[in-house]
Amino acid sequence: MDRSLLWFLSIVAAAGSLLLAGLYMSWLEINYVLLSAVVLFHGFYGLGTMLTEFWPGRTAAIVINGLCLTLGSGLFLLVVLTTLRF
Amino acid sequence: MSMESGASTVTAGTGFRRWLFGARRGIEAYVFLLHRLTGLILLGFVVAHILLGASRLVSMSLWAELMALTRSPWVAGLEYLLLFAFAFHAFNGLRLILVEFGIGIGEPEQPVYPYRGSNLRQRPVLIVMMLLAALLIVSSQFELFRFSH
Amino acid sequence: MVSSIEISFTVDRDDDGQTRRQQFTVPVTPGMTVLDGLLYIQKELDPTLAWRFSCRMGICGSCGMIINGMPGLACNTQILNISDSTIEVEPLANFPVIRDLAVSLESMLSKHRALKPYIITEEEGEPGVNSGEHQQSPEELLTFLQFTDCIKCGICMSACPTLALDDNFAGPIPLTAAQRYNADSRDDGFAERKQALEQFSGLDHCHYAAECTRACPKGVDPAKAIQRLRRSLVADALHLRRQPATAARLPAAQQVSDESFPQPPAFTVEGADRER
Repeated sequence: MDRSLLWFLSIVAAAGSLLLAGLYMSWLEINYVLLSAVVLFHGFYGLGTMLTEFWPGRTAAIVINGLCLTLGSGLFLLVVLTTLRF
Repeated sequence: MSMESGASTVTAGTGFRRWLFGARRGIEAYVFLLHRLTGLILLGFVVAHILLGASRLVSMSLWAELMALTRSPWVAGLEYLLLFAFAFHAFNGLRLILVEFGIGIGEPEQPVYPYRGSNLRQRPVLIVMMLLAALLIVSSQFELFRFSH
Repeated sequence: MVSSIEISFTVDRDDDGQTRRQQFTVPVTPGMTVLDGLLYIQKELDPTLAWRFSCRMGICGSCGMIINGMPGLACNTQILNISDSTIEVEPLANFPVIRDLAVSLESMLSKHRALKPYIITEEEGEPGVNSGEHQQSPEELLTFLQFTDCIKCGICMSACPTLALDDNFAGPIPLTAAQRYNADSRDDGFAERKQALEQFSGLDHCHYAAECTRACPKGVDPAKAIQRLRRSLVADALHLRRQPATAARLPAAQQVSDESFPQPPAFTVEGADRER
C-alpha cells in the first residue's frame, strides 16, 4: 500500500476519532465498535510510525508494523466480542 | 535578528539524547514531543479500557475486582491527566491536519529578511488550538457540560 | 572608540573519534562573527583547529555548525548577538564528524542526488538543442522560487529531530529540492521522483516540528516545501492530483543536429563517474 495513502487514512481515522468521541460526549448514541476501530487504527499507526523512527530499517519496520497490526486487530476483536456478548 | 544570550549546556551526542536535549528548540518542536507523549498516554488508556471491558468475558467477578481498583483516588488523578492529554492531542492534531496539508503555513514567496517562515505563519493556529484545548478542560469542570451517558 | 571584551569559546575537538572540549579566550569587538572568532583561534592560539568556510558572507553554505545549541552559519552569526560571555561551538548534528568542526555531508548529498534534483522532460537528446526557451509566468516561477535559495549548508538537516533518530529519512534538503523541481512548470519528473522516494523513510516521518524552517539561514522554508510535497503525494495516491501543464516551448532559433553539437570534454579526475 502507498505510504502516503496509509498516512492519509490514519489522518481520516484521527478526524473520525475526534468527531465520534466528540459526539459520544453529547446525547447522541455512537457505535462503540466504530469508535474503537478508528481510534485503534490511528493509535497503532502512530505507535508504529514512532517506533520505526527509533528503530529504522526494513526488518525493524516489518516486525514493528506486524506487531502493531496484530495488537490493534486483537484489541478490536476484544471490543467486538465484548460488545456482542454484553 | 538578535537571539537570546547566555551560555547553554548543550550535550554532544547522537540519537535519543540529542533528540531530547540536543538543542534549544522552537515551540513547534516541543509541541511535537508533547503530541507524541499524549498520544502514548491516550493509547495506553485505550488499551487499558478495552482490557478492562473485556475482563467481563472472563468472569463478572474479575471485572468487579478491576472496577473496584478504578475507584481508588489516584485514578482520579490519572483521569485528569487523560483529560489534559486528550484536549492537547485533539486540538494539536487538528492543527497538524491543517498544517500538514499546507493550510495556514503560507504560500511560496520571495523570502525577504527577516524571514517570516511557515513556523511563524501558523503560530496563530497553534495559539487558537491551545486556547480551545484550555476551554475544553475548563468547561469540563462545570456540570452543564458533562456528558450525559 | 571600540572596546573589546574577552569571551570564552568552547570548541568541540574531534580527532580519530576522541571528542573533547577545548576552551579559548577570544577578544571580541562588536560586529565580529563566530567565523572571525574561529579564525582568531586558528591564527593566534591553536593552528590545528579544523572547520570549513569559504565565502564568509552567508552564500556558500560551508561554515554550518552548532553555535550555543542552535545550528547556523558561523559567518552570519555575530558573537555579541548570541552571548557576551560564552560561545559553544559544535559540529553539525546528524552527520559523522571528520575532524573538529568539519563533518561529512555525503549522506545528505547522496540523498539529494537520489531524488533527481534536475529538470526531467520527455525531450530527447540534449535539452534546448532543437527547441527554444520554456515559457514560464512570474506566478509559475513563484511556486518554487523560494526553494531554489537553498545553499545546501546542512543546517536544516542538523536541526531536524526526525533525522536525529532515523538515518533513512530523506531530510529537509533533498525533499525541498524534490518539491522545487516537482513544482517547476518545466519539469515532468513527478512520477520518477515519487519512485525515488520509495527507498527512504516516508514523508509520514515528518511531523512539522518546523525546526528546519526555524534554522534555515536563507529563508528557504523547507517545512513548507515538505508539506506541499506531502500534499501532492497524497493527492497522487488518491488519483486526485491535477497534472500541471508543462511549460510551452518556443521554437528553436535554428535547427541543430546532435552530431554537430559539441561533446563534453573527458573527465580530468580519475574514477569520476557521471552516473554515480
